[in-house]
Amino acid sequence: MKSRYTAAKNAFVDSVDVEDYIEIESSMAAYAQLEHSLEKPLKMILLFGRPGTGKSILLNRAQQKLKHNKEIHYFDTPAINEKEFFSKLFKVITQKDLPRNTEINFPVLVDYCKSLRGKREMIVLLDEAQMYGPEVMEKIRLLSDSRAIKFVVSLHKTEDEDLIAKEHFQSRIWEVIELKNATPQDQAVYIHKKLLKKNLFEIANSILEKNMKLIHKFSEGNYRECNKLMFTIFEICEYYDENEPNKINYAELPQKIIEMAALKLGYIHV
Amino acid sequence: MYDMKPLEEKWQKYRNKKLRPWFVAVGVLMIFSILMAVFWENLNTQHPSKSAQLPSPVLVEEKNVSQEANTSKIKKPALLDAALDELQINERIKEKSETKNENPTDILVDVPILEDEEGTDEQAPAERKKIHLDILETTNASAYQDVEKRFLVSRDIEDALFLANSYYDKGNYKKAEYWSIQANKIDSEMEESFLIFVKSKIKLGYKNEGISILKSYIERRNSKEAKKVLQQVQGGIF
Repeated sequence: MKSRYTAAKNAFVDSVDVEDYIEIESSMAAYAQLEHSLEKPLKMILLFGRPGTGKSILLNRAQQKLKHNKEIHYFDTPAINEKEFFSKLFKVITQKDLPRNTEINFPVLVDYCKSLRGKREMIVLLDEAQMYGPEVMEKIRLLSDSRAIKFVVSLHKTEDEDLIAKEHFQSRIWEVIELKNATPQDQAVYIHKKLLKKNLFEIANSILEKNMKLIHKFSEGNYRECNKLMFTIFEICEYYDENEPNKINYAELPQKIIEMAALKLGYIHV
Repeated sequence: MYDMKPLEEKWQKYRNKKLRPWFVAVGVLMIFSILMAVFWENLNTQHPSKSAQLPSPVLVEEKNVSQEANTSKIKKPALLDAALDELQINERIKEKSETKNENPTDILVDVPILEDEEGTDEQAPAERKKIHLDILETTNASAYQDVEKRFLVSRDIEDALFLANSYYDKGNYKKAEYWSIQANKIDSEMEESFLIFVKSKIKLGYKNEGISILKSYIERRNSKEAKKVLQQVQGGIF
């Protein structure tokens, strides 16, 4: 017999699938700001925040929602080299694959883009942009100047990366959207909604406010860490449910299990 | 699924580590509470002993006061530490000694106080004999009353005889008659009390009755003193 916790565990498998997107106050505000920025005649939009703050899923959602109205493209993983990146970009711009044994003449590409100004407006969502080298970033800057392509650049927020972003895009970034870690309230809503989305009402109700506070403490409001922690918690619950049901309280998620999961993930140490 | 046993053991260690400061804090708090309780208990037990010790010098001083008052000498209290208390005690001693020296002849006032303060039964008879010697010299009326009161308790024939003689000498024949009867009740063979009784009777105007009593007494006892009194009465000398 399948444990009730199996579905709960799977609800927290980390993904950027738009189906798993949870509307909470802070993420809705960020999405609204992004949508509003995309309407503006901006060259570049910088989306930044610490890892696990929901940048990728936000870009994914924007692409899914706006793809019918706008020419929007989502580059989820950085290209392994410059050639690959421009090959992908060529396809976006020309809507054709790059012929074999050919290379892109970048100045010609820029001129082509300039010729498209006012005729087409393309939006390119670049996730994990910190992976691109300075030369690629410079070329992205030049392409954005054509006003035919609008880039949304997603960056991890660290002190250094923040400085890099400023150096690269200082003159061109017109809008900055920062995603922050979830507040305890936001995270509680996130967990509840995740479970309710899978019709796991009893399990959602077994997580009390004090449990939520502890989970927030361990995950520091980071959605990715929260997903990992919740997955591990329900994995432990699943084990007890199947093997030692006397050790689990179905009405209230035991603090012991949350701490065990935190130990397993290295949030706390003996 | 990973093995749960090592994770449980790890959690148990984590929990012990987490609770350790609380155990230490509770332990320290308990030790502190115990120490405080012991301290307060000691403090409470020490105070009564101190207060119990304190009055004793005062009592000693009080005794000293009474003894010193008898001898009309002023001595400083030896056991009081505080200078102020010492002064107060000295003042009290002075007052007492002064009040006692106001009536140096009124010895009977002092005698009962001495008995009360010393309160020893063995010394009481000796004190009484002393009193008689003193009383012979006194003229104070209250002294007779004190002896009368004492007689009611002691039933001492000496006291009754003293009162009979004293009142007779003072011319209070009615009281002389009464106290001579009291003395005679205790010892009916005592001639002195009988003669005071007869003489008082005659002084009170019962001359014939007195003569009759004297004659019958002489017939029984052949007393020389009684014959002498009879001659004086019949000769009109008495």
